[in-house]
Formats: sequence, structure tokens, C-alpha cells
Amino acid sequence: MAQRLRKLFRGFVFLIFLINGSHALASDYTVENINSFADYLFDNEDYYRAITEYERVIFMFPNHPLSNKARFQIGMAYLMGEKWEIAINHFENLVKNYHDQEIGKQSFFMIAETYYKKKDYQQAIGAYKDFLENYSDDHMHDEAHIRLGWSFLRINNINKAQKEFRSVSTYSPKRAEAEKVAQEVIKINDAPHKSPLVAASLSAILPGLGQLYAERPGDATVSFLLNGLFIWGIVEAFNNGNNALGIILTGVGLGWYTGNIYNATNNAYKFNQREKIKLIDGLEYKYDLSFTCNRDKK
Amino acid sequence: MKIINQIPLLLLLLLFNSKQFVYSQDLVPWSVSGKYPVINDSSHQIYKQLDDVINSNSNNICLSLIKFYQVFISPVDGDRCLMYPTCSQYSFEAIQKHGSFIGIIMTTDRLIHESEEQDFAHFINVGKNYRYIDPIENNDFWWHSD
Repeated sequence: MAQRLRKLFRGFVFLIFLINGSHALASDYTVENINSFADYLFDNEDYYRAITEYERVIFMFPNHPLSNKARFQIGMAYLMGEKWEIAINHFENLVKNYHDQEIGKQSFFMIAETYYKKKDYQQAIGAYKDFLENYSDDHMHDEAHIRLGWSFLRINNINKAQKEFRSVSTYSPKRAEAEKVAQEVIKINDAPHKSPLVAASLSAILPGLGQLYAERPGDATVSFLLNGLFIWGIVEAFNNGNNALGIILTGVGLGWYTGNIYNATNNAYKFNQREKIKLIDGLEYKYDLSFTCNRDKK
Repeated sequence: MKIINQIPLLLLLLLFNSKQFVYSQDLVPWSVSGKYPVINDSSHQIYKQLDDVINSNSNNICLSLIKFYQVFISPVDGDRCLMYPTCSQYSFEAIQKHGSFIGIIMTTDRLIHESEEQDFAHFINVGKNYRYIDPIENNDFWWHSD
């Protein structure tokens, strides 16, 4: 009798564990839990795994409201993972399938954002303009104007940038800051500047001098030594009657000499570009009107 | 008989472990299929580039010389270029894009500036290596628009 009771008790305990365990397993796989786990992975910049979890949400709960969010987040994960083309394709599909819904509108905007993050500013400008045409009188209009402003700034079109910043509607909370940016962008013209013509001329006179002017001492040293050695070699070759060697060295040396002038000019242009980017980045940081994804992380 | 009595306990253990089993499905090897390009890492692109180099039919002597260097000399010489694209690939692309004359000038420019460029360029993961990114567009943007 006691043995039977013991068996019954064990069976009862087993049943309780079985029911409890199954319940725990099922409760872990709620749409909220999977979505929350996917968000956790996304926040930790583990975008590949996040995509898997968002796909799980869509697969297991295709009709749940969170599945739309998951579809959008997959695009965001591709974007943040810098898989530009896949992100754009993904957002384009969402625009096609959900054009009249919020997710479609957000995706349309994110196509432009992807181009911006990719630093393809011309394409970004076109995409923001398309957004403004497709979604007229929308609260995201102001966002699009601000992004257009930054995009024009990045391609050095200060007047158009100012115009876009000033297109932000007066009732927008970002209006005041956008106006300040519009006033401050003129400072970009005062950024430190190196004349490419001066750099090229200096390097033509003495290889390496233009690079020094463009604040590239390493390049200056390499250029001076390379060209100096070739010139020395050419002179020695001709002085010693090795004309064939002299001609060969002259041919190769001319390549280095021309490359030296190109290098000095290139360095001056790159210096100017770098200084402008520094100023624009500073403005974006200062006014907190930067790219959506970065701002959300702050 | 005693073993039969322990079956419920074993089942219990299995049940708890089954949850871990479900989660461990995330740890299967990642696909390298082009269908899921998020994990299509650059190391595969490098092999593709090499295939392209070998299979491309070019009449340009400069490109042929670079191809010869990339396929036969560089693997023996060792992978030492810290830039991306590597100097030989940069030269190849520059000549393809702008022709031999400008391409050679741009190559000499790259050879002069590559060491100091590392102070300004972004560091990126390319296959198994980390390299400083310095594409053609960064050096012809002031006279050529793509």
C-alpha cells in the first residue's frame, strides 16, 4: 500500500513538473518576449541575430500588430549593419506592400535615410524630395526638410541648405534650432582652407613642398626622397654615359614627379573637405538634429 | 525495476533541457548563401575579385601586368598592404576608370600618401584583416563626379 502511494506521489509530482514546464516553455514564446529579445539584440548592435528574431516574430505571429514593427526593424537592422542595398530593397518592398500604412511611410523615409547614412547625398536628396511629394502635409515633413538641409550642406550647397532649414514649419518644436543652424552654416565658408593651386605649384618647384603646405609631412618626406633619388640617379646615369639607363629612369621619374604634383593638389582638396566635414559634424552634434538612428541612441 | 522508477525523473530532466535545446537552435552555423547576404562577408568578395581578375579579358598592357602581379607575385610576396582596396587593386581600378595615364598618376599618388592616410582613413574589417579604407572616389572627387 505504502509503495503504491509512493508511486502515486511520484507520478503526481511528475505531472506537476510536466504541466509547469510546458507552461513555462509556451510562455517564453509569446510575441512580446521574442520581440523584446530581438530589440535587446538590436540595441546591443547584434543586428544579424536581431534579424533572425524579428523573422521569428513574423513567422510565428504573422497577423500580430508587432509583426509589422518586426518587418520595419529588419530594414533598420540591415541599415545599422551597413548593408545599404539590402536595406533599401527591404524598405522599398515595405513601401510597395504597405503604402497607405504608417510602416510604409516610415519605410519611404528610411530609404532616404539609408542613402544619407551611405553618404550618397545626391540620392538622399532625391529620396527626401520624393517623400515630401508622396506624403504631403505630414508631420514628418519637417524631418524631411531638416535632412534635406544636411544633405545639401554635405554637398556644399549652403544656400539650398539654409532654405531647407528655414522650411521647417513655425509650429514645429525644431523650428528654433533649425533657424540657428541656418544662420550658423555660413561659418562653413570660414573653415581653414588650403589652395590646391598653391600646393601644386610648390610641389612642382620642389617635390614635397606642396605636401608640407597641405599639412602632410609624411607625404612630403616620401615625395621629396623618391623624387630626389630619381633625379640624382638620372643625373649620375647621364654623367657616366649610361644614356639608356638615364632615359629609363627619366620615364619612371616623370611618373613620380607628376604623381607628386597630383598628390599635393589632392591633399589640399582633402584638407578642405575634411575641415568642412568637421564643421558640419560639429553642427549636427551641437544641434541634435543629426541622423535619426544616431539621435535615438543618445 | 529501479530504472523504470527513475524514468519520470529522466523525463523531467529532458523536459528542462528541451528548452535549452530550442534556444540552441540559434547557434547553428551561419549561412554563407547569397540568399542571406548579411553574412556574405568580404572574404568571399575577395575571391570573387580574384576570379574576375583572372577571367577578365583586357587588352590594356598595364591591367595585364597588374593582373600578373596579383595572381602570381602578390601571393608569394605576402599580404602587406594595409589599405582597402590594396594598392594593386587601387591601381587596377584607377586605370580601368580613368585610363592608363591618369591611372598611373593616381597610383603614384596612392603610393606616396598611403602611410599618412592611415591617420585620417576609417579602419574597416575586410575578410580576416582590418584595413584603412581609401577608395578611388576619395582621391578623384575634386575633378570627377561618378
